[in-house]
Amino acid sequence: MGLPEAGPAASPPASTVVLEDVHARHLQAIATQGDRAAYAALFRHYAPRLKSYLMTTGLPAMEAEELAQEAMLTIWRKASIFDPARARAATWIFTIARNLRIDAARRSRAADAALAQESLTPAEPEQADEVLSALEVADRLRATLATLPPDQLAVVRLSFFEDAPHPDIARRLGIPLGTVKSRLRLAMARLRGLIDPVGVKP
Amino acid sequence: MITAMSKPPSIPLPTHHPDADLLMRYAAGTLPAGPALVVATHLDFCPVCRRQVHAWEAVGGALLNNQRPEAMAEDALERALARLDAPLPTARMRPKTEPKVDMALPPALRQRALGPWRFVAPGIRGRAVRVDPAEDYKVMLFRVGAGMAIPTHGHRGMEYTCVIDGAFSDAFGRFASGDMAAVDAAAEHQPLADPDSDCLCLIAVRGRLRIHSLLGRLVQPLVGL
Ligand SMILES: [Zn+2]
Repeated sequence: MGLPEAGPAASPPASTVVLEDVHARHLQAIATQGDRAAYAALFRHYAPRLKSYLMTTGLPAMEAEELAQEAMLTIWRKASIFDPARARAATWIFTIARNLRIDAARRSRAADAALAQESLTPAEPEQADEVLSALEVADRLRATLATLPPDQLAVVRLSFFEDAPHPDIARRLGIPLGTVKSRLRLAMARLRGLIDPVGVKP
Repeated sequence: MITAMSKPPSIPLPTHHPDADLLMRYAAGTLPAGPALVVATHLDFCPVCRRQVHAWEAVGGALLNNQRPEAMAEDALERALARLDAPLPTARMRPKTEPKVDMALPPALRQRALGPWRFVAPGIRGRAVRVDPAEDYKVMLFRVGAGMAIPTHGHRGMEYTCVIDGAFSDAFGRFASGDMAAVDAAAEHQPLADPDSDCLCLIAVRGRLRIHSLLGRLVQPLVGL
C-alpha cells in the first residue's frame, strides 16, 4: 500500500492480538508435538502473571506460586482441548487458573469439590456464528481495557478478580470511595455495553 | 432426518436471567458456591447468558495479560519442565457406591452429591445439594406439588432460585424451566407452583431455609435436610 509501518504506539490492541495468536500457536504446538520450547515460552509469559493474579485473589506468595505451577501443568496436559476458534489463549488460561483456585479453596476446607471445571464451563458446543462473535467480543473487550487509564484499570482488576468491597479498594489504592465508585461505574458500563449491547437483560 | 438436526428440539429460552453483576462474578470465580450452582443451572438452559459469561471470562483473560508479573522462584521453569513427564495422576479412587446420575437433572447438577428426598410439608419434598458449608449457603432441590407454595426465605441476604421443571409465579412474574430469580430475602413474595403440574426448582439461601405457609403465619424451619 506504500503506507509507512504503523509505529509501536499506534495500535496497542492489534499488537495484543498478535501476542494472543502466538500463544494460541504455542498451545497447538504443545498439543500436537509436545513442544517444550513453546511450553517454556508460555511459562515465561503466563506463570508470573498467574502468580500475580492468584496473589490478587488473596493467596500468599508461596501458595500462589504453587498454584501457578499447577495451572501451567494443567495447560500442558489439556492443551489439546484448547480450541482457538472458540476462545483466546488468555481467556482459556484464565479459566484454568480460576477453576484451580476455586478447587483449592474448597479442598482446603475439606469440602466436596465436585463443582470443579465441568460445571463451571458449559461444554455444549455453541453455534458457529455465536463462536465467531464471541471472539470478536473478546477482542473488543480487550481493546476497551487497553484504553482505560491505569488507575481505572486497577479498580476494575480488584473488583473483578477479588470482588473486593468498594471501601477495601479505596483503602488499598489510597483513593476516595467516591472515586472508586465513579471509576467502576464508568469502566463497567463500557464493558457491559459490549457484553450485552442490546440490553437483552436488566 | 435425524442426522440433519443440529440441535435437539428446542425448549423455550428462559426469560428471567441473572443480572450482569452475577454473571461477571460467576465468570470471575468470586461467586460463592451456592449462588454459583444456581447460575450454572441457568446456564445449562440459556445460550444468551453462556455467551455473556464467556465474554466476562475474556475480560479475565485480558486482565490476566495486564497483571504486573510477579517473579517466580529461580528454578520455577526447571521444575515445571521436570514435571511434564510425570505420569498423570491415577484416576480418582472409585467411590464406594457408584453415584447414580440422574439424567433428568441439568448437567450442572448431575455430578453433585445429593441427599435423599425428604418430606418437607404436605405436597413438598426436598433434598439437600452439597456445597461448601463454609460459605454459609444452603442449597436445596424442591419438588413442589401443583398449586403449592415454594419454600423460600433464608434469614438474610439474597435467595437464588432456578426452575428446572414446571413453573411458579409470584409478584415478579412467571418462572418456567431455566428461569432464574435473585431476590432479597426480605422481599415480600410468595411463589406458587402452577396449578396444573409439579415444580422442580433449585434454591440457594444463606443461613437456614424456612418455609412460609400459604397463610403467611406458620413458619416452619427446615431442619435436618
Ligand atoms: Zn440467561
